[in-house]
Amino acid sequence: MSDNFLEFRNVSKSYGGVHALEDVSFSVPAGHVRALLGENGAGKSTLIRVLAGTIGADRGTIALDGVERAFATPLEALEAGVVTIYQEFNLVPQLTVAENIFLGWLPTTAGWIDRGSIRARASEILKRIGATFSPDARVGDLNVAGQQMVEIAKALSRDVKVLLMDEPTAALNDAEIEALFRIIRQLRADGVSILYVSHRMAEIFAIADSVTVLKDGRHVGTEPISEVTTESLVRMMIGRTLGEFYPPKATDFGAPVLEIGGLSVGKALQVEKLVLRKGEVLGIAGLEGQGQRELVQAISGARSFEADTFLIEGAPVRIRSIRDAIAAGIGYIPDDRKRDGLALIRTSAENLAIGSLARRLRFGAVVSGSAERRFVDDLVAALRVKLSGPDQRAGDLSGGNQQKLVFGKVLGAKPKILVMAEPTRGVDVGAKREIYEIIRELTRSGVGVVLLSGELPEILGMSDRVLVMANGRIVAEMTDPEMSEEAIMTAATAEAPEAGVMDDAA
Amino acid sequence: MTAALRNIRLRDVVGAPLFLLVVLLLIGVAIEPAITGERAIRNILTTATPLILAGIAQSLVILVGGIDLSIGAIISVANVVAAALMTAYPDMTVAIVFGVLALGAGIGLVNGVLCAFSGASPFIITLAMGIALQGVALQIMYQPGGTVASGFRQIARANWGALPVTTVIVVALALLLAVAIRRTSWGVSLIAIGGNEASARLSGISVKRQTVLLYVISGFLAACAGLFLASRISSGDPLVGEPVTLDSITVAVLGGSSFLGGSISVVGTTVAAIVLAMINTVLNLKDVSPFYQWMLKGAILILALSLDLLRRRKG
Repeated sequence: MSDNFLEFRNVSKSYGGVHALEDVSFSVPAGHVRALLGENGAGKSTLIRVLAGTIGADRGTIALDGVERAFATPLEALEAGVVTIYQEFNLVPQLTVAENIFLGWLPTTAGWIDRGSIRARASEILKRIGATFSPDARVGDLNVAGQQMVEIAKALSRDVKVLLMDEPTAALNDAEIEALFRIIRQLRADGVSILYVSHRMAEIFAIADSVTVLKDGRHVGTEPISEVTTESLVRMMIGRTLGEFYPPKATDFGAPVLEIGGLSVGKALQVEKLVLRKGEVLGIAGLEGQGQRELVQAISGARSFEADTFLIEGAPVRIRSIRDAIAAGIGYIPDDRKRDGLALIRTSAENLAIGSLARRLRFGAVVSGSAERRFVDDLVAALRVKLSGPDQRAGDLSGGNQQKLVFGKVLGAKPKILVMAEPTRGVDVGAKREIYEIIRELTRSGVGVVLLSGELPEILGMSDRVLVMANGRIVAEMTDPEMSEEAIMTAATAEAPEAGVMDDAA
Repeated sequence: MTAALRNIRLRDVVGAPLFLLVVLLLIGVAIEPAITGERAIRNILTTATPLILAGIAQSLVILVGGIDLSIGAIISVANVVAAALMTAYPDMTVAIVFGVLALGAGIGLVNGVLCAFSGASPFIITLAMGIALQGVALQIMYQPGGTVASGFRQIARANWGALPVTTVIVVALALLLAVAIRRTSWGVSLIAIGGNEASARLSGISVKRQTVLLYVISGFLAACAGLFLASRISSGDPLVGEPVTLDSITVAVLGGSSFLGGSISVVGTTVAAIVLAMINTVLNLKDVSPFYQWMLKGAILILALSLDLLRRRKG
């Protein structure tokens, strides 16, 4: 029985006609670490949500120890011993570490919490995972790594039979990752089935016994870790090699289009020098929250900053708002298109036109309807946006088409510099390729691109040059021969902050 | 370490805005020293009592990220229903009291179910409920009137020295609630819902059930306030609760609640209600026009909200 303790049997799930999971079947033995790999949008998150009881499958079942289970709520999954450590933090900043760990099943006597008991049990778990902060600390006072440790402690406080980990190391440094691996090995020895989602190949080879690859919602294959290599896994994930997936890179660049010196955003960002050339894709990489977001927001005018020099095509400009940035020729594609990028309840045409309304379409104070229509039609055609018509509501489009609208909205203003954050997040593989093509078409026409992405394959596949950030500073600069996941991760983690240390940013 | 711990506890129980309240208190005493007299204190505390009830109701709802704009109207409805029924059936005071409490809880139940399940914003739902209930109150009694049994009248008039009995009971219950928020799994669940709803849900806390429960409590406490006012003014007044909605928000925020959810200070809210009642009393003693009082109250709310924002930014 223990050979397939956790079984997915023909699990399918679709959202509005798009298959997130299609007939996925595989099993994980007890006492086994299974890496779950796949690109964004391959169905990993959906699979985890189905198993954790936050969404229901359309078809198919999950079996634990041979018994079919359907978890209608997260609580049912937890009670069955299926514990999830989510990528985004699910902690309550106002509560203490101990309260967060036992949230939902706090031990009580006649309704009153046994504070001594939760503190003692929390201390024990924290010690086990090598966390140094107190169980009485407020979670809101911990830094990101500390909060990640609390997430892990929270999972371990349960009677775990199946542990789901979604990128658990994203915020941890080497020592913390090693501590986490020790815990994982110990849980494996205790017979726990572990599903481990990570993009970091080195980690997968270090901790996993076997690996399951999903692509476009389908199960591509499950192999023992000894049978695979980074190259073979990448091939399984994207169905071709990296070189074929990304359009060819630029071979020569023009003059600098953007030169910044002495850039700072409070204590979050300190950049001495940044140069972007015409036709270049400059990748910005690093662990979560190391100042990358502040950097792209500063350049695009979305966040106030100080800079000694800020030159566009050699001429000094002052950027104090997004409006200034657009006027100076900087376009910005934000990472949260639903919140910042689009008016979802408005039509596609309106969304496209709004980006350049002020400059192009106004005769006196009136928008010319026919000029707007022409303008929109041109953009839709150029970007290959799949619309039922220009009046289709932006909110009804797929992620990929929404993102193309954001591109169109920004490109309508003819930027010289395009700053983008996570441009392919939540976008399916096909649309991803088209977006990469669009980016390369732009650089061929001389646009300089700043690309912030948390996906290393994307950084590697798209960037002509990569800046690695840590603690708000640029810690490494790499170009193609030396660029690799390992090199970037090494540079990014070389001086990551320690877990549990309070952030003094306030 | 222990010292640091003690500091955190102190802040949790009393709330940082206590400082502002002490300042307001001292200013009040400096302007009108007469308010330290026994009669004045009794008067202030009696005035504060319905506001303590409404403020706690409001801060509980705000804790989970909601708001109850119908509190004042529930108070008015409870007040006029109680007065009208007690006038018609003077012998059934006890039954009427329980009936009115059930009515308040029932209105809260409707608010809660709509807020938890309709997907519409609590702001709109409770605003609409408040407007509708104000109409109900005026329909029942278009101008102040009615009378209540003499025994019922004594509820707001019984004193222990300078302290009204009702106020003492309400404050004692508030203290118990303050401890319960920090020390029971129920209280921690509420903080969790307000602090990170997704986390609460994933931890198996029934967010909807707790939301409904809090609006029920809010309606119940508003009905308590309406009954208290019926006892105090010995009659019904269809507009008696009207100013209380804004005041309840003011004292909740002054006391340490944040509109971002996840924070509450029952003790702070209680103190804030007493301070606001004191300010009212001082201004009345000084013969300040009620219009100036409104302006001042509005200004205090804006000040409290600004302090709340400043606090979040730092923390």
